[in-house]
Amino acid sequence: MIFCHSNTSVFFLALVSILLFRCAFESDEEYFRELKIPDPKRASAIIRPIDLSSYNPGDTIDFFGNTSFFFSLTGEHGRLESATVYLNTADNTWNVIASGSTTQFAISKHNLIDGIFPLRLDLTLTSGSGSLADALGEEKFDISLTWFLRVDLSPPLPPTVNLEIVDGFLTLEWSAYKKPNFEFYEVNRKLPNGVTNTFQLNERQATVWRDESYVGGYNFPIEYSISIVSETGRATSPPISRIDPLDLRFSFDPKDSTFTFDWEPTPFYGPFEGYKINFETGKEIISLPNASTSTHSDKLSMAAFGAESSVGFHLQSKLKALNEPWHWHSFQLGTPITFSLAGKITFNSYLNSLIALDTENSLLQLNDKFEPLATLAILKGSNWLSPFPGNYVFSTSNNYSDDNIYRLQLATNAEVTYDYFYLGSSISTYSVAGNGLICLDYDRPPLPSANIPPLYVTRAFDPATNINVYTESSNTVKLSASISEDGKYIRADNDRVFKINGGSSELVGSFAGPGAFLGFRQDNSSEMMFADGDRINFYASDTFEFIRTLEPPKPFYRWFGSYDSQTKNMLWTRSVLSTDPIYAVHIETGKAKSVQVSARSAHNKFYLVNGFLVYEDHFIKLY
Amino acid sequence: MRVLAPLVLLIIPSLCLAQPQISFNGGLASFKMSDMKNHQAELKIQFPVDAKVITSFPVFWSYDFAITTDVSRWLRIGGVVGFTSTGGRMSYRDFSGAIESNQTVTSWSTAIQTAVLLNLNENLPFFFVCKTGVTSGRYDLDIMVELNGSKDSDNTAFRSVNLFLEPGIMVSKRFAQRLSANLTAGYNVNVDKGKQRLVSNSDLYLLDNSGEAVTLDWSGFRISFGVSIELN
Repeated sequence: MIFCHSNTSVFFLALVSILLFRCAFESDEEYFRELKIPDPKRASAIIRPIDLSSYNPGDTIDFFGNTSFFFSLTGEHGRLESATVYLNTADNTWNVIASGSTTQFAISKHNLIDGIFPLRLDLTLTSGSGSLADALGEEKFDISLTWFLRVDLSPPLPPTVNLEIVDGFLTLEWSAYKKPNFEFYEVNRKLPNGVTNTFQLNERQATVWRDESYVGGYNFPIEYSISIVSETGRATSPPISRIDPLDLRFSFDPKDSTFTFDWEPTPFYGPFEGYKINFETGKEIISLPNASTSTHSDKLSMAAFGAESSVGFHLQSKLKALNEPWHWHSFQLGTPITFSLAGKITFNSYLNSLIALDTENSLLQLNDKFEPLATLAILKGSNWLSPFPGNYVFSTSNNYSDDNIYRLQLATNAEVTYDYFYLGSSISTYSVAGNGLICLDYDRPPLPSANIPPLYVTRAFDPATNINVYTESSNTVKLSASISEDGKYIRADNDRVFKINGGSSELVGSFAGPGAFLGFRQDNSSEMMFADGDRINFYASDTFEFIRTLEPPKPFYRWFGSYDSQTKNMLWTRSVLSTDPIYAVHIETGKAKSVQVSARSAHNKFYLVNGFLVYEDHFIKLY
Repeated sequence: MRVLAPLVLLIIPSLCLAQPQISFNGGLASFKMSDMKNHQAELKIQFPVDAKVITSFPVFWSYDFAITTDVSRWLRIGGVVGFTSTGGRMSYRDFSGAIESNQTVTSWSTAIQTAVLLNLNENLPFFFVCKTGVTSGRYDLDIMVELNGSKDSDNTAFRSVNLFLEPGIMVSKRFAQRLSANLTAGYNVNVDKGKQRLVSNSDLYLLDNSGEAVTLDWSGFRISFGVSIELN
């Protein structure tokens, strides 16, 4: 029984074991996530050109040139899968103009014409619901949105420009260009010299431009124009000219060296920095900062006698960008000579007055103020000499064209004509003397046809009698001689000196001293002058004895021949003038007097006469 | 049957010796399954949606059937066949469809059980029990996707073999002449965990994302209640 019972129990246990062993782990619990079912109608997009305000679907988008667009997705949506942009162009077909998977696209102006065209944006979006299907990319929306693209690619119109003075500035005003394809304004300023300045204004609203440089003072117009530059082209206004010539008057009083400028004040006080008055050297005389100033007088102490000097007037702007012109006015120190002088004024001892030749070849007698007193004679040419002491005046025709020397005797007003064409030879040099003698050098070339050798002659003679007081000739050696102004001595080749005595001359000797012969002293021919370096040595004409030496007043100064017999002063200068003065040096005492002259003067145009220093047609009194 | 063969070889001789007993025990088992829990987390990350982990290898029922015999007054020895299972589940469902993952692991184990009597109290004897054996595990991974009304499912199965020790305490109470009630508590230790080889191709075995083998670890507490019958 037990066994049976045991067998039953075993069977029972085995059965339970088999049943339980089938009970493997199993779970069927489920997680459900509550989600909102997406609605494709609730997704949309807003498109807008970059830099512009938003556009809603159906709006018209203005298109003025190449534009980048950005659209933002709105409503309930997931990510953007794809976007395709179509434009229904003039041929009524939808053309794909952009595609991709970004929220940006660009429309190019190329191949577009003005008009209104539908613009369609087809988008494929994921739902964004977060569902399993969304996660697996099986839940997408296709939406299509349409706008209108209004294409306006017409170029800008030329602006109308006003040119006025505002707050002291020359100011340009024009109307703003309102289309968004604006790029910049360009202000063009063309100067009288042809240079054009360009100023670029990048702000659309910047429709006023004032010239920060213009202060007027140009005698020629300046042209202004405005260009509007857009993506579709450029339009330029007609140029507007502006001219504000300087109303400037200049005067100079030589008595006190005072100059005066009078002008009309500039209305351009905005950019104005000052009225500048400069001397010709560039040195500033004064700068007047007040734009309302209209006159200025000043004593010009920095001017010197001689060549013309000038002072400049200048309107200067703060920017100094326009290179405003200088207005120069010239003047000359000293008293002007009132007649048209030809050559130099000479003191004539016989008349005891100044004489000069005018441009009409009239020999004039002058008073102490260099004013003509009387016409002494009409000379045959402008080449004339009046040797000391001045009883005679010699002249030749211009360029020796008629081979004559005319001698006028001032005491009798008698004139002698001497034809110096002699033995087939021509004049080489000649000198004349105050006693009426002429000293001539002839150079006749050989005459091959007659087998006649060359002939060289030098002689001194009275043209009235043609009697020689000195003569030498040679067929081989060229000869030369000169006569002292008073007609007492002749200096010939080989440093020989002849003394004229009555109707003949006798050799004094040959000077063996140093230096180069400068001549007999004008008012005292018993002294000969020799240049020894820059110094001058004086020797006795009769004995050749050394008398004295004149040292130059400063190194590198030389005597170039100007001598005033009335004051016995020699004029010493440098061959090229600088800021150093020139000197009048007494021929016997060596006492020097300096005179400041213009560095721009030519040294050989200065001379001394009767105690005056003359430069061209102006003179000042020295003694 | 391959699991039962060694047991038969042990049990038949014991039946021939003296006073054999058969017993059936059922109870609860916990499982370490650390690799499998990580494996479940890696699966979860790969899901396109945020699925919920419903279960992750929880405590579950275990059963064993044993035939033992007394070798001496103090020592009882025999064979044991055991079965247990556990598993993991992840689930997600919304209006558009569902996705779920079921990871079922089952274990058949065969062991030699040794029981040593710890006291002489015949009414309530205490035994130290130790099982030593092998466990054959199977891992079934079932993934189902339901989308827009259509379903798609996939099953992948792996097998593995582990060696284990399970020491414990057993108290027995005779309530009839041949029937005894047993209460056993112990701890299963997997001393060697075999690779989980793909059933369809045993050359392949399961790896985690870091390239390490994913093993079944049945280690855990065991508590069971059963009935024993003396056959002689």
